[in-house]
Amino acid sequence: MKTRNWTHRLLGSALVLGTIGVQAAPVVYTLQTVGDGKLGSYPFAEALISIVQVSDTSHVVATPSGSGMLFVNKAGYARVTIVQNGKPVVAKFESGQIYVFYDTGKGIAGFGSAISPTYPVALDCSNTVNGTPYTADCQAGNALNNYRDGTLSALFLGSAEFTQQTLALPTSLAQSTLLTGHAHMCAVTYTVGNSANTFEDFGDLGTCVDPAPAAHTLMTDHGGFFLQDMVGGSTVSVGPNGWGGWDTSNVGYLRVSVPEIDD
Amino acid sequence: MNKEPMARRTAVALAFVVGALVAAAPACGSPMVYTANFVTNIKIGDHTYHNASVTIVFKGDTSDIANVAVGGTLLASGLCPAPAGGGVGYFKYLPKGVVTISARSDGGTITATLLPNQVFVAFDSCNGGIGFGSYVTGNPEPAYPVGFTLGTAMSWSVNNDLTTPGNMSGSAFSCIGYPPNGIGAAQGNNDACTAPDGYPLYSNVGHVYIYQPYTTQGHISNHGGSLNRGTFSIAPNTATDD
Repeated sequence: MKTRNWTHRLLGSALVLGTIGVQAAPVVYTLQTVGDGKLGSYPFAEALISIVQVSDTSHVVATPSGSGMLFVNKAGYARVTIVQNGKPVVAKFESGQIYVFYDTGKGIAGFGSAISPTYPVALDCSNTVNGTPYTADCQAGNALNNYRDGTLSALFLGSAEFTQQTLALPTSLAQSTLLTGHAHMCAVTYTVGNSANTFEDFGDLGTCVDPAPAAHTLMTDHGGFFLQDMVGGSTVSVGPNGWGGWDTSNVGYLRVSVPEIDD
Repeated sequence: MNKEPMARRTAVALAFVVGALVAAAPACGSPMVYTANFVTNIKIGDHTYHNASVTIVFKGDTSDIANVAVGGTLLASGLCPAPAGGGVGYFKYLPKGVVTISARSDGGTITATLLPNQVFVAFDSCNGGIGFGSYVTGNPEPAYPVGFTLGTAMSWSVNNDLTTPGNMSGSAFSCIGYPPNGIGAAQGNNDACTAPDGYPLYSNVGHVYIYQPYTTQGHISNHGGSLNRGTFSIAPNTATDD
């Protein structure tokens, strides 16, 4: 029977500033969602998007973020797979283009870049501006507004309304875990003033505005790559009760996979 | 905040709760692949995989898509009387197909091919639900092994059908007893999902069980109760060996 090596268990509880992964272990970060953008000369709309980074837990770096920690792993290599109409295209990112992050102080996770620490994809960002200054997307997490969406909100809130298995999910990017929430894919900002009807996941953001997508391109072996969320919270109303807004946005998951090791 | 008021609970899948299922197939169809991707705990044979990347693939033909009917009468939701109400108003399913369930964990992948006639593609164009249902309890279970609601899975399902290629994302339920909350003609399941341990899916490599560990505690609502997320795709089957 496979059980987790004791050194891996320690990683989640013995956090220190700086590099936390004293014991090295291979790790694969996989984010899956659906979205819009362009890869090389190939535009896509509502395509299946998988971003994978292969690295080692020894490269996870932690810094304080609010009452939590910002975990980042910038080492290794990454690729993106776009599937539209059942046909996959795989592109390898040039070195240093993207990195995985998990900010437990905000309750957000995803892939960041030099363009933005939450671009190309961030999960469980706040959808609400509500009159406050808004010049860059995803400065706060959704759960900060006491809204719930996925395991990221649950781990941020940490309340007994969620199963113990949920609250026991590791939060260091150095252990296997599952982080879920609605997906923001926007280099700059979303439109503001959206009045779509929502029941669970409130917010006044609409679709992603990107006046200069060429400046927000990440480099791959298939050419430039960018994402621009054209759905966001813009769906006005579907079904008999009129679900819409961020209840009907694209969502996604970030899977952290560290192989289990026989004791 | 996570508990749904009654008004919202009315937007829940009522499909498959009663009666016989009668096919009303279109005259011609095309081969299609339906794929779900999500991460959860899964047991295949005697081994349990934690947080495995699970892919369920259903290869079928659109000519086998049928309206769900009771006693020869098409089952229409009272919430979505056709043609008004945001959808065609009927519940549909695709019962014929070849189904594989793959689990990727620790760098390895195991694939189980299900024995026939256990799983169907489930589609609720009224309330916005899509996924794979089964007969593991002897009755149709619309959200086990996996059903999606909310997200673009909800809006897509209301505005399209099972013949239209597309990709969507949503909240993933692996719930025996869906909907957990009673609503309309559906009695609900005491605000809970039944554990799958006594309800195997049969495959060429042993029994398959799919778990739902990440939910709200005590009360699983029909929409916000699952914290899991995943994707669902419909694409033409262009493979020559199927």
